[in-house]
Amino acid sequence: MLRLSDVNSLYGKSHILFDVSIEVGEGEIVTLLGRNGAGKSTTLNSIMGLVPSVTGTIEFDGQSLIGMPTHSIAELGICLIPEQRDIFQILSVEENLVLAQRPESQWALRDIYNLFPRLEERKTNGGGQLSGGEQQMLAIARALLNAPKILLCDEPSEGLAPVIVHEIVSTLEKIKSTGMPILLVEQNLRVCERLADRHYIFEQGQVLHEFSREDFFSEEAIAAKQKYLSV
Amino acid sequence: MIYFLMGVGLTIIFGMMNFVNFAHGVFYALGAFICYQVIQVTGSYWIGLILTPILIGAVAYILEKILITKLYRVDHAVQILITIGLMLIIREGILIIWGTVPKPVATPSILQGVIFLGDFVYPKYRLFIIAISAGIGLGVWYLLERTRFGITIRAGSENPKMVSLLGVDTDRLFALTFVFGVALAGIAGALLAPIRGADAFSGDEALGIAFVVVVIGGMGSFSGALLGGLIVGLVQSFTAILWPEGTKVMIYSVMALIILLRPNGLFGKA
Repeated sequence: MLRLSDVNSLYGKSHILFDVSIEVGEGEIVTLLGRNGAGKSTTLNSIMGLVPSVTGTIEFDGQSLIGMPTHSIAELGICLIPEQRDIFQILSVEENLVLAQRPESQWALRDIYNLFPRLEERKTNGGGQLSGGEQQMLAIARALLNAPKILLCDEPSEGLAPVIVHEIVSTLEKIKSTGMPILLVEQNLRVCERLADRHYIFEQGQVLHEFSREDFFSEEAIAAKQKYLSV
Repeated sequence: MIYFLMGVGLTIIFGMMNFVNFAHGVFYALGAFICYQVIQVTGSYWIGLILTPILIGAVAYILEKILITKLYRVDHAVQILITIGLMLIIREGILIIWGTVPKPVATPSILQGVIFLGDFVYPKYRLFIIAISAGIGLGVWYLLERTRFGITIRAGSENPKMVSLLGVDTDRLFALTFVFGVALAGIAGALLAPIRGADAFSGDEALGIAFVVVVIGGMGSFSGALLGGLIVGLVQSFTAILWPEGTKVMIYSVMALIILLRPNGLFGKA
């Protein structure tokens, strides 16, 4: 349903992505792997219309996204959960949710509080008072209320304690079980192995390898992981 | 109370959009003239009071689309220079259309005269201004704090990129916020027209006072604008009785004192 082919992205004069072609199908979780600066986040930002200069093809359900303003892309149902989470600090937890809420969403505020009881306890707290894990939950919750057809998730486990990462991963599994496709940028290999149906490995702005869930433990994949993902 | 109305429009535009609008005062003056003109045509002050914010909002919308929208990302110094230019253009426009002599606006007959509150004698029209400003203040507070539109405006002030990632057109949001802030200046001008008349140069004083109100209350704080407006109003009223020549000095002295004690204003964020 989301397809990029031969995408080149530039910030000013710096060329970040080179002929990137990736695809996310119905109900699929796809991960983008690679070192810092390999172009994973830029890929997500290019989809959302946040990169000034993008060429190639980006299509969602057959509709071209290139040149479309960010808010129109979001309205089509493509929802980015940014790396910094970007919780509104001056709004309360509930206001963060109400802001994102759209009537077409299959989740209501009640469902969100069932999925994240912690957010209900803290609903009158300011967004700035939350812990990192709570902020990530709020960022996911906010995205779900925004009536997404696909989630783009940028390093949800970054900077979180293992027990919180575990919680976030099981939440993503629950979301996947509703048939929601997810394009996931993630550094934590174990998280990727657990969640994803397919993997793309990025290096210096290019897609070098694509592995299915099964192939991800083949010799070729292990070699690629060694070469491009180990620090 | 009227100072609150002037200050709140400025603080909304500055606080929510981080846009310094030195043309704010001239919109106040323009509001008085539009009100005067509508009264000339229709004969009714009430129609003038209702049409003024709508017409001035339309002017603000057009200006936002052709000029202001290009200024959000530039330095404050550039915003100040360009909005001062805009102020001069609008003021000269007023002088060309309506002439240099201030135009009197009659108080509507139902609000003429005074009211006796025990031993106090108070003009009816001033009570009306207090009441309507309080009503508008309450309405603005409700809009900003309790509605989804207000939540969106506040969120946009913090992180416009994230707001657009949630499907909100931030260009439109900023245009509406600007129109709203300017319309509040227009209402203030229309409300004060029966007391001060419509004067092309009244905008300068209004701008000064609006900035004092905002600085005292704290940039971008709604409650701050309310408190700042009350403080300026009280200082103005008391010195007008005790030391009439010194009202302006006192207003700016109070502002200086508050900045010394609280550099971010009473409700300002760090």
